[in-house]
Amino acid sequence: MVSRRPLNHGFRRRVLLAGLVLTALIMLGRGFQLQVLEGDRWAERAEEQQKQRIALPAARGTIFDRDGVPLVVSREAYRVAVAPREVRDRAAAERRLREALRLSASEVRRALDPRRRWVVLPGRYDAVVKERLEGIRGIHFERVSERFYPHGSLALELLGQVSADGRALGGIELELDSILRGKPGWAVVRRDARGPIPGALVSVAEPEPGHDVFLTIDLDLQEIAEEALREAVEQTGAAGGDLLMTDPHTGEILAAVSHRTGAGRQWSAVVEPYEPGSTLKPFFVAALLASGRATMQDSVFAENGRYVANGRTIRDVTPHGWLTVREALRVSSNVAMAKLSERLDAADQFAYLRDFGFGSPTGVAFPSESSGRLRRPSTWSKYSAASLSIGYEIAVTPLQMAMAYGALANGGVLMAPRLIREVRTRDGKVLWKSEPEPVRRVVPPEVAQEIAAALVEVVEQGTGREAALGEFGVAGKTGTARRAEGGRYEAGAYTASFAGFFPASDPQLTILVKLDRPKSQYYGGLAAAPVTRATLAAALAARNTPLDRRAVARRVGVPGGGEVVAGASPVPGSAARNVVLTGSGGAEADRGAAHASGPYVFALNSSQAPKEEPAEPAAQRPVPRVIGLPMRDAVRRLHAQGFRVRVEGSGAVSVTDPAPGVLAEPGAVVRVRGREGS
Amino acid sequence: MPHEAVLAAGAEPVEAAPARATRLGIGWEGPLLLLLTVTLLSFGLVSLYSASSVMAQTLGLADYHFVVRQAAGAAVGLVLLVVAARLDYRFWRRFAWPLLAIAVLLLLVTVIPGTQAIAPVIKGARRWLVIGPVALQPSEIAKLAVLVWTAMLAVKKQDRFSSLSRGLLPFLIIWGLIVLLIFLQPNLSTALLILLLATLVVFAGGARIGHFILLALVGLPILWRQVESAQYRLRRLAAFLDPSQDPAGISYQITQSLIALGSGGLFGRGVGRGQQKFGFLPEPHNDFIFSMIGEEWGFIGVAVVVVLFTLFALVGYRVARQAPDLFGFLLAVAMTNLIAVQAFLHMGVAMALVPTTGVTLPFISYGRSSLLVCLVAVGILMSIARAGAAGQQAPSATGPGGWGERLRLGRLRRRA
Repeated sequence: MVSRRPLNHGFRRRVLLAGLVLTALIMLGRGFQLQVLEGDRWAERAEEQQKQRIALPAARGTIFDRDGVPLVVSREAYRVAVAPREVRDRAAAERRLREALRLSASEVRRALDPRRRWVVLPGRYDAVVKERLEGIRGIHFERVSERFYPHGSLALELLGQVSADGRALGGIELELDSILRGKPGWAVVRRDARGPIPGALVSVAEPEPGHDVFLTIDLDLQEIAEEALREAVEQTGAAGGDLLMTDPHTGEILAAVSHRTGAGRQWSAVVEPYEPGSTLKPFFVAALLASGRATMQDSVFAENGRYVANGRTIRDVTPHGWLTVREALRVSSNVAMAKLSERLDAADQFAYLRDFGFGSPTGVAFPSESSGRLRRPSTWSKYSAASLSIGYEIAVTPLQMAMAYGALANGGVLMAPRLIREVRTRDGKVLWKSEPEPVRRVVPPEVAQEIAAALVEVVEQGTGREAALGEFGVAGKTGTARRAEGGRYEAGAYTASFAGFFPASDPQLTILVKLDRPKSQYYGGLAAAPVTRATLAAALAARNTPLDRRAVARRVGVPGGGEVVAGASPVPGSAARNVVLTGSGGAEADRGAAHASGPYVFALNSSQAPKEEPAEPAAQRPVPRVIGLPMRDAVRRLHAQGFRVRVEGSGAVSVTDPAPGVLAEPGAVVRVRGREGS
Repeated sequence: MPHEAVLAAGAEPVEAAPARATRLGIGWEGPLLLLLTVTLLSFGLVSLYSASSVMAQTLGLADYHFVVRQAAGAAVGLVLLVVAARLDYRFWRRFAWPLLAIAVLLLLVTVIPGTQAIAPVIKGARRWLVIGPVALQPSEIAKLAVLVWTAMLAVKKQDRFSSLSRGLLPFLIIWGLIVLLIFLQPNLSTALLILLLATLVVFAGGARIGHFILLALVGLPILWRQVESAQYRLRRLAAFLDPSQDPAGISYQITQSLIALGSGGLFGRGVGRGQQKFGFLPEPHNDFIFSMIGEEWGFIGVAVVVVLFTLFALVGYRVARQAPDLFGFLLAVAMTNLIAVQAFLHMGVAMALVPTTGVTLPFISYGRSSLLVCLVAVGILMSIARAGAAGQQAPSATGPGGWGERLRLGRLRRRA
């Protein structure tokens, strides 16, 4: 039995043991190779994948209005993500997600679906929401910076937007991106296979926050302007419109609104030129006067409304006979202007228009400004001189027009428009401050004054009875231009506009209102002028600083002057609509005798200034109760009562300071806090 | 029949007399094995805490979650170790068939349809039996069962190894059944590991080398087809052969393992300061725990672990040499291999010397079924060691049947 044993178990055992020991030696050798010989190389690779350099976004600067009210601020927000498999108490997580984020049951179920590993919920949430969700296992937060607009969409077309990843997309955000953006920092953190480990900081370079920008925009005026334009566009059925308010002495833009139905918010007042029509006539007349080719008293025969020049017929809506230049401007006679254009060299006409700023970019701090179009005389046709005299064959931007009117208002000096008032560091150090910047003197002061006086007449024509009112009235000119589309003038499509300044005797505000394709009323006087009235009325009532209130009040007698002005209107109550008709231009002149003689005044009646209000300008008045109202309505109510408003937060009003009923001086600041955010 | 008489006669003095009277008489091999085991076990729990705390926390569990469960497993395992050590190893010879039957039954439950309630699909495979709070891996029990059974049959077939059909074929049938069941779970790694360990037992038992070569020739194409049929296995193999071909896929695991080991350097990053466990290393508490040990303890730690397992292998093979009979010899070889071969395979995977397979590191990797089986294996080794030592101390104490075995072995040794 023993002899049949063929194999040596001891040998097999030793073979196996030798194999094991050999394997052990191989393991040791491999370990030595990897860890000792190649250790540094692997450590490098480890370093490479275990550390990560992450950008620390710099806080973007705030954009303020001229008085330091924030229009856009950067704030921290949080994106919420759920790792369903980490969630322990599913029911609690579900309940708190639903409550804190106001999600529907099905959305929450999807977010907690255990088949998914990582669910990022849409939207961004503030710190309050984050606090409510903190401490639930499986819910994660990612800090993001977002632009917050305390005043909703106010001035959005100016501000522009910033994309989710921090890129400026337009407007001031884009123009001043290098100033607002700041300098991002970086941090090296340890990371795991998924990403950075929170708090595992290796080294860091702090970001430098962006600078703050103060615009020349006045929040109250801007609010008023937006409201007025929105209403006007609605009422006239216009395709859009622009409204600008500037300071004629400094060139500061105080309010700028552009509205295009069905389009995004874009400040088209610098981007989209238009054919101005009659609102250009004052500059032509100014050129005539300044070059000595005519005086205001010169007579010109208006050919009874029909004049053939170079084979082209020019018409007036209302036929006129002999007119002085001044009268021709007042009634906006196309025929008279066309005939007067024969007195002026093409080169002179071109030079004056160019000097008023047409055809050249104004240099305003805004992206993609259009220069409009003013052709050189060498390319003019035989019609061009006459066309230009009545505001055709030229394209101007609303801003160019506003600045040009500003030159008429301030005595003949074209100012550069200013949108940026100051740039400050985050801690308040002023880095740059803009100064009024005269571009050139265009016409002598006397010419500007003569034109201004004529423009007062345009507005106040036939209002001898209200001489006192005339003193603080509006100077301006309406325009109704046919719109060209694809090289032809389109039937029934007009641009209605009004440009002017206020108060006429000592202008403090230049205003331009333009409505594109108004449907119900296309005459500038009917469509655009009421907007002007409404805007200026509200501006007066809001007692805005840019208006030298005392100077105005002295003349008006009553700030927000309800009684006096209302009494001055021929038909109280309906005055508002009637009076505006006078600001007429060529085509629309004298469309109704009754209207034509109506004065253009501020019908600051009933709704704007309650009758029971004391007539004393500085008299105190109770702060109205606006708690619970939507922010926009609350602001309007306060403006109507003559208070200035500072908004904090958004949503319905929760608190006002001073409290409702407390007596406050007109012009005092009322702080309003919304329910959401702060 | 004579065997049973021998067992009964032999058990008495070995169990009772030397254990009480001459403590030195039980030899140093058993205590040394226990010392090595406890050392590895303690080291294992520390490493496991380091490896699993991060993962536990990302899973929403307490950081000590895995360690506590493993420690509980170790406590139970140590009790089983003591029981196995006090039990005469010859018990396993009688118990080989029943144990195999139990293993097959348990494996069947994981394979047949309709038993998902107690054999759920976890990570795409049904490897566990979950009954209440107890989770069990039948393949680990099968590992033990196949080795015990193979040792038992190898003793029986001692004279017939020269014949393929009567010698090796019975082994192949039973192995094939077990391996097939495990393969169906699917758990290719364990199936192949069992095949390897069982083959080594038969090799130790004296099977003909020619048969192994023949088996390899037949088996490799079959294995290749299986590997080919499962895409992920093919990719593992391809990635192993050329890691640069697959930088983000399977070789990602290997690369991460090498980065962990390599970046440990000579002295390591320090306990608990490893970085690779933060999601880079796949299964840092299990299939790749050795990589993490290398990262935190450096080459020193790697060397210590290798030396500990090598020592274990040396002592285990010494126990085999001194075993009172052929069954003891084969069983000792099988149990030693169960620990050592598996350990080196695990290390080989971590160091990219072996294609990526899911093999645990005995005493250290998380997994209570595996831990229990390993500790029982140590208990069996200690039992054999004690019997062997007792035989050397007092040859007269062993029965006549035992003599025959010992004589046979002794003569073989002398011839070698």
